[in-house]
Amino acid sequence: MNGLAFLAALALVFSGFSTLSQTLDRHYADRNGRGSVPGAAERMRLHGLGWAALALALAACVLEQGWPMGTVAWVGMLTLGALPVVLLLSCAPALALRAAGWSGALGGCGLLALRALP
Amino acid sequence: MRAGLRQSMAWLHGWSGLLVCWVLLLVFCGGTASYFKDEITLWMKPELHRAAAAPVPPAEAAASAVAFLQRNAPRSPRWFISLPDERSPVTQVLWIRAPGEPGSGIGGSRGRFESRTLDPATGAFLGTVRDTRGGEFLYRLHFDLYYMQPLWARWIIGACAMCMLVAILSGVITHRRIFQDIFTFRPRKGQRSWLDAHNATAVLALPFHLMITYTGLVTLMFMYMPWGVQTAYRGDLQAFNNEAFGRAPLGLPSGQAAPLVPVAPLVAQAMRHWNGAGPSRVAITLAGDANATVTISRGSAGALSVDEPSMRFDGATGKLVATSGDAPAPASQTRGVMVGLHEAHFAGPLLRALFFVSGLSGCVMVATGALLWGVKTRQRQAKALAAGARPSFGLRLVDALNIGAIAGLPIAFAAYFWANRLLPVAMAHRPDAEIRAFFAAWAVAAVLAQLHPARAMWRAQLWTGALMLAGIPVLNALTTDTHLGATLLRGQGPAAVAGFDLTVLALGIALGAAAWVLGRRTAARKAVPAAHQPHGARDAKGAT
Amino acid sequence: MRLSRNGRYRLGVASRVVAAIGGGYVLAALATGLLAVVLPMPPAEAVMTATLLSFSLYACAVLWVFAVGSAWRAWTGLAVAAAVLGTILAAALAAVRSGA
Repeated sequence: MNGLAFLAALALVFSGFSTLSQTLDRHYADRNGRGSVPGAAERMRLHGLGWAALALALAACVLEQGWPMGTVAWVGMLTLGALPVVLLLSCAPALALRAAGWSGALGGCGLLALRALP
Repeated sequence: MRAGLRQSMAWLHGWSGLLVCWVLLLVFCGGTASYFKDEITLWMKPELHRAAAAPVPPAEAAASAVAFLQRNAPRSPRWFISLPDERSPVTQVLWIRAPGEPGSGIGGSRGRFESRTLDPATGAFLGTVRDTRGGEFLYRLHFDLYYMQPLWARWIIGACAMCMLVAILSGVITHRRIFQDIFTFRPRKGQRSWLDAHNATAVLALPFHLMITYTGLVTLMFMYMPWGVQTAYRGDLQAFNNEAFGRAPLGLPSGQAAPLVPVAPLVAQAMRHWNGAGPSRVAITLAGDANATVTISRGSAGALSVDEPSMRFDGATGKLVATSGDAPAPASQTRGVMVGLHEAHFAGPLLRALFFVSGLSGCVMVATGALLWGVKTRQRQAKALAAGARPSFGLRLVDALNIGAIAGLPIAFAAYFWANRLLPVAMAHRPDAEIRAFFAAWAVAAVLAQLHPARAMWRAQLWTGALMLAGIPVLNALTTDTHLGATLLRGQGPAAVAGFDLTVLALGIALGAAAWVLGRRTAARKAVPAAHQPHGARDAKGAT
Repeated sequence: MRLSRNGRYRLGVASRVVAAIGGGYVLAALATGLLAVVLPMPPAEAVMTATLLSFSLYACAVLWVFAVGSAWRAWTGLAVAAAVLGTILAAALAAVRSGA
């Protein structure tokens, strides 16, 4: 696994899980105030973005290593990427969401760079 | 245990986990360290750090190893050669002592083998390298334990692994809000924080935990469940091994002398057959006899499966006799992949780091589970304890075992590495001395914990572990020249050595942080004019 | 022998533990032995498949023993399953021996 794939996948997993965490009432309320709950449309949007980011992370892993090892690497990235989400959500939930956007974008760029490389 | 599936599974999870958690912690710590066992061994042999520089082609290394064996073990019926690779820069040779040689019959199966480490470029015995089991000790520890017959150890570990499997499955069933709580961590809330930590480390690495436990059982499955071989092959294990793994039995010497063919062209032929993939092992039987065979195994580094394709040549003529493993059957391949996933032999440095992180997550999961049990039990006994009663036998025992295992194991690991640097290089039985240091340190920690299972003991042992681990890079700098200054800052030494120094430093800092937090909470509690604090009681680290 | 409620509970637990550890293993062993002979694939493959599956069978048996309503039911269930598997296994082995 090369460094670029690793970082791109990590950024995408972090972004995906941060986003998906907002579909859960508890974490949505952490950011938007107690008792608030995402609407149906917003929930769908969050789900879509979150799962898309995780899928792109899988692409980053598989692109470089093939399906067998790429899948194994992806599962490992899911663990590594989820840990900072848990920690941030417990100390600084707002930061988690802002970082999600940035890391998603960076991860996406990394993935494009991977495709462009020979 | 009556009302409902979730309650019965909660009960089962608690007990199947608690009874084996301290052994499992040892297994997880040893196993997690094993992912980098070659790197650990390299760190523990500073004399080899220079040799890790120039890689030698496999054909050359094989030829120089054969030359050594022909000089030093000419009548041995079986030679094994492990060729150097990126993780291990030296050649390992192993041979069975020929019948009639001194020492060939004694010492059981271990006594019949002799092994040497060779310089791959010259085939010379690397005699002055300090003798150490290195990372192999930690690897063996996690399934063969120590100070007992491997067979007993493997049955014990197997039973613990089954308990772990039951604990995982019952844990998942009983975890009511497994998806809603997946990112939940509420710090500084006592029992709930411990539960959150246990859930997070368990669920976020759940695929790994399930995989590592099941595949661990699979690695020894024919020992634990021989009944398939019993019914389908009427107990003929050799016939099964032959059909399933293509292993040929050791042939008989013909009595006719025939010089062994040069091995290098055979290795080259094998590499061509495997499209350039490097060979990893050469096994030679009956060298010098007309019935000699040379079996070359391909490294499984590129594939998930641990089963290696191999090619068997006639040792006297060089003719190819058989190839195996190029197209394995589904169930065999499944088993190969399962064992491969457990060992992660295929993993490059970054992927290996992911396995390592998941393994650490497993260690934290087991530790927080054990601590959670103690916290819950202490809560149940809170009234009695506040009234001045002593903790129950079970609670005191669990507290003591927790300290001895969770704080004691890091001390033991650190002691092993300290011994490696401090013991004289040329001393006799050096590997045993290093291993004794490991167990002696652990024993001291465990006994002290039994004598005084209190918060002060936690802090003392955590600080000791932290200082010993973080002190290893310093010790390295004082005793060798491949310390972080050279390996990291000047970028010259082997990267593995720098990685080791940084990892133990990070672990030491983490332990120190835990000890510091514990100290602050103790100070906070002492500052409050508290009710009478019972003797020997240790409240939860996170309790307010 | 009249047991207190607590005593009966502990006996029930102990009984389930024995059933789970011992009975579960016997059940998994019988299933492995049976699958190894009846699965329609080469014998080495059948043995491999059966043995790979054995631990999940064992784990499921253990979970079931503790989930089921009473220790009696656990033992009964295990005994019935073992009897069924054992009979089929005996028949399969006899067929193989006489056929081969």
